[in-house]
Amino acid sequence: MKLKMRESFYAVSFWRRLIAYLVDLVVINLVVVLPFNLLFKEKIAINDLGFLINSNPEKLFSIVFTGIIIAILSVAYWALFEYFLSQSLGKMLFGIKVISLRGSLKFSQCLLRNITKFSSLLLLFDCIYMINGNGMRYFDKLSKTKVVGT
Amino acid sequence: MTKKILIAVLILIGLFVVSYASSKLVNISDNRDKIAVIPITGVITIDGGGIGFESQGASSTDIVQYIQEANKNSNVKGILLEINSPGGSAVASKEIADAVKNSKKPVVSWIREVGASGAYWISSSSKLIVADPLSITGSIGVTGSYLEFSDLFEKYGVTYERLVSGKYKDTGSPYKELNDDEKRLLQDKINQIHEVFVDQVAGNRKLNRNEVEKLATGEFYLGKEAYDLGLVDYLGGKDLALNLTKQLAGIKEAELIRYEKKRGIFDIVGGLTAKNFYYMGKGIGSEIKTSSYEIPVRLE
Repeated sequence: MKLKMRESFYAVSFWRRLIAYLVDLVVINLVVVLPFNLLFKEKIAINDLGFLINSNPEKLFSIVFTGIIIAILSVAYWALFEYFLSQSLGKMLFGIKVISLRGSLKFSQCLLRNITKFSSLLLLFDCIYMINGNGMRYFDKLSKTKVVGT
Repeated sequence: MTKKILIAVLILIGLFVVSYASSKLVNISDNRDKIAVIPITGVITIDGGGIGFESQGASSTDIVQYIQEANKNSNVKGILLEINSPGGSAVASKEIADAVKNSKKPVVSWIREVGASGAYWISSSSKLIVADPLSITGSIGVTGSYLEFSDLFEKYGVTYERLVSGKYKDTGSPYKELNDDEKRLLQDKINQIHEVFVDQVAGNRKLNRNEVEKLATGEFYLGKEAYDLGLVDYLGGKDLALNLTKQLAGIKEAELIRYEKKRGIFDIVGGLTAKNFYYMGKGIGSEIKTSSYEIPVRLE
């Protein structure tokens, strides 16, 4: 009879999760954002979104639509990786993964826990919950998931 | 492990494909012909000036950049300068005039209320000038006038302690009277700038230099007078200016795109805050000292 060894998990520090997140941002920039950058033939030397909209008012809809698509695909990146592999590329690099606190990890849980990642500001507020010392973001708690080291 | 890598690669490819397909759907860049409208409003300086809620003038740094951007944009076929400026610094005006001359796309100047002095210099560099019959233009000349307070200070017992290492170092100081030698020096500089201004206008407008010299008394001309003198090409407004730009560009229809920066509330507040912190650090007294020897040579 084979004994199934339980995987041992340990709590992960905020900084490790942060660096893993930054690595994921680099990947998202290459995979999701770059195709849109290639379309911007008009180089905006001023690098000012306000100038871009002002000089091309008919493009406002396109710009907003682009923002929404990038946000959806960014969240999809994390949700898909965590659902299929329990970890995004950044988490893989730093040896951390996502587990469900109730049974097996569902896609809805992965989607819920990553929903704030389309906005840095929302994510910041989400992370403030970690001050209580349990190592969980608010949406980690909501989705009943936890990030652990392997 | 292989399965893991395969899944990761599939997810990445899937996301890239969806992203690329979405970017094709989004019509961010269209190929319609465009005319770039670049406003030149207010006093022309290198940085545009304007602190806090003061209205900003025209920044030659920005305007030259806009002209260059319009030239790089393959959809922009022509440039319309919308001018409402009394002029400004010689260097800033020349920078813009040179950028206009070097533009590969045709440039038309449309003078609205005022397009005088340095602003006229800029207009003269363009292919065509359109002005309203009542626009104020011309004023081909240079001024370096400033207020001089020596008598006022003497009245209140304030003296000027002169400590310089070169005899002309404090020429133009508002705290002392100009002597004849200094006056001659400053006038000579102003005359040199004036000569350049006249040469440029004569060359740009293909007028006889002596004729331009006669007009270059600093007098401003109404649009209709300037038209009779050959200083402007057409009398009219925006529609005429636009039609002429399209004609020069060889296009029938064009979309207008406006090249200008709008100052938001954070720019205004940031500018106020930055200025205040700068003066706190530097000391109001040293600021008065360092600003006293600027000779404001302007084309206004």
